[in-house]
Amino acid sequence: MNDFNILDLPDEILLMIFNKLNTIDVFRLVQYVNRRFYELSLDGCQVQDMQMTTVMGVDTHYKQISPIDTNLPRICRNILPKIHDKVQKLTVDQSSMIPVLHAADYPQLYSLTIIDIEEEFLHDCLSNNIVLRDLLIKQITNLNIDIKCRTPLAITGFQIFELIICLCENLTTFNFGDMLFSRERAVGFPTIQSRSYSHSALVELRMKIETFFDLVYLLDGRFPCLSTLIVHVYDHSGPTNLDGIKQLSTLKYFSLCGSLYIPTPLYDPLIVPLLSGMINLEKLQLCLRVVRLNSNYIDGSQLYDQFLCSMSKLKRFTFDIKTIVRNQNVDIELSSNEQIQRSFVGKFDQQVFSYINSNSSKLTGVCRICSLPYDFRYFFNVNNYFQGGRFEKVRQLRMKDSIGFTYELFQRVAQGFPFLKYLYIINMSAMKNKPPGSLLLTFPYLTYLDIDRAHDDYILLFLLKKHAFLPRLSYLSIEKKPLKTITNDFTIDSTDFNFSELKTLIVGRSFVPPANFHVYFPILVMYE
Amino acid sequence: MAGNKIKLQSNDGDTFDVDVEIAKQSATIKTMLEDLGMSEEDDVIPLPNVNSAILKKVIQWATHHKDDPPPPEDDENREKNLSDISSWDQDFLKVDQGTLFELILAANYLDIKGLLDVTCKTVANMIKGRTPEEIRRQFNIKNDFTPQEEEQIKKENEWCEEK
Repeated sequence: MNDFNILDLPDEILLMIFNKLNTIDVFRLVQYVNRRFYELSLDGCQVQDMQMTTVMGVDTHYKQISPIDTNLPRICRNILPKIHDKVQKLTVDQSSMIPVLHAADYPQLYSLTIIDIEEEFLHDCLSNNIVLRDLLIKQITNLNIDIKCRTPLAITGFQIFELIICLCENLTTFNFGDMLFSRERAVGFPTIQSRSYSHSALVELRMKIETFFDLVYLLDGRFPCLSTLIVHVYDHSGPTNLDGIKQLSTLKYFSLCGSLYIPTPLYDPLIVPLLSGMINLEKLQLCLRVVRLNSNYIDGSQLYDQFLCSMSKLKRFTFDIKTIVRNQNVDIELSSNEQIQRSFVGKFDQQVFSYINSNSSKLTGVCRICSLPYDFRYFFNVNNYFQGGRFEKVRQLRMKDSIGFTYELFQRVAQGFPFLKYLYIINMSAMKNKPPGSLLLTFPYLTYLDIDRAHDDYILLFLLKKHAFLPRLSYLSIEKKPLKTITNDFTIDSTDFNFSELKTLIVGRSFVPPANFHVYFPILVMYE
Repeated sequence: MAGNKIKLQSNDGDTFDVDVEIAKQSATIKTMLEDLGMSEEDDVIPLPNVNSAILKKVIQWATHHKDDPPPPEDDENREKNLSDISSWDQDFLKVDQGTLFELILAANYLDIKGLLDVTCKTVANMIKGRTPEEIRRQFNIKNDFTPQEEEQIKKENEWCEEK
């Protein structure tokens, strides 16, 4: 034992420790410990980027109320007036936004992040709250908005979007609803009654939109300085030509992710011409599911000839494109995987991963091509054909098949997706081989596991500690029957299972928890 | 120096043979080896800011985490999560406070982000949820506010006690 004291740590390290705490904990408690803590807590670095939120765990599918909820008025009265002039970035939510913004003026504030807010509330504030409107009009250049998805759309997203755009003349960077991967609310713009306006400061826009019609809306010239556009398009509908699109050449970075479930038929009529017009692109990211009739798979030659050849400034192109071909009485020979691989040779610097569904026939087939290293946060429909590779950017993975998975597949997945946070296993067929006793599957960052459509073999594989190490698992969705089976009706030693960190358990409404439920799930916040 | 091992020397003179790949979890050592032209053949790498007991712990931590992927740079996950400390790290950090603070200093000097992160989180967990008086007792900190300041703090802090 030595007598080293916390006060022997330099200021930079104490600030690192304070930064691990909620801003409110620092203001509420830590600063009153002694004079040095007090001064550090008001340090410019500490308060430049303030997170004044009452909810935690928005992205981990459970919510906790932080101490700010009960103490917010006092914090606003005692603390914020002391530091208001140092705050440059501020994160608030529905409960804290108004009190915090009204507590003081924030002359240096340029970046505002609003999380977990209802559309109606936000719309009302944008329309009527003078303080918020004044900030947006005069100061805010960076705005991030995360809207919660609880209610059906009453106030539509586009009204809020247009209100913000019309208010914030200085806005250069705008993320509207694309902050958290788990949010699926998309914005649709009306084709008939849309307002005519332009915004000449906006440089970067990131959002989830409903259809390709909405993409046309964003590119109809109303944002003349837009150079970065990152969009997720949820539905495959859209125009079949470029009519209405006026602005493509200002874009330097374009990211287009289509629906992960429904393939789009608009690749050839709309997406290719759209991309061919983006002649000044420096970075392009495409994640598309495409359906083609009477055609062949999209390959490297087509990508190059159709649009890449016209992008002379392009420095980085990453993609994950799946082509589903349906041919009828047409004598088109579908490419082999070797031909697909050869089509990239000499045209692309990066490695390309490709596979063709072995069930493909002469008339129908599925081909997937991905650039490596993989550049997207999700990876879908992994099955035994997955041969491995390193997918460090992927956070969400869906494994799905009607044929039983092999144990080796899970080993490849554990090695290939080291930062996986969300895993869905959809397979009701038994595993082809049993896990060896000596090996442990490790998913160090997995927080969310959905196995309610999985065979008991996979449930046991993931939930028994002797098979899998899941130190961060906080959300589990499972049917009640297998849960009772694997625990032998909650009689097997609870420490055998990966339940200790679970905060949310989705097990079905008819589930009646046994008396010793808390022994199995000691820190559970909610179950349903 | 043989094979893929290097020798690290603590400030009290002890030397430790360590796999190069394990040692390179320290950005400081990695820089010494790669950018400053030091080679594995050099006799020893002196680490004047770390004593033998702490260096031994640091090597133990780095050895356990040698195959860890680099921590993800999650732009969407700005939330501060103090509960994601693995059970191995929790056991490893069941040490007296002095050792914990020295580990923090060593991790900072050696620039081992994973170790710095988990040790700072451990201290943050010791602070979280405690009143100012409890924090003072926990870390043996003297209350050095003047009586006037104390009075003012009490006024501001009344609400803390109400919870």
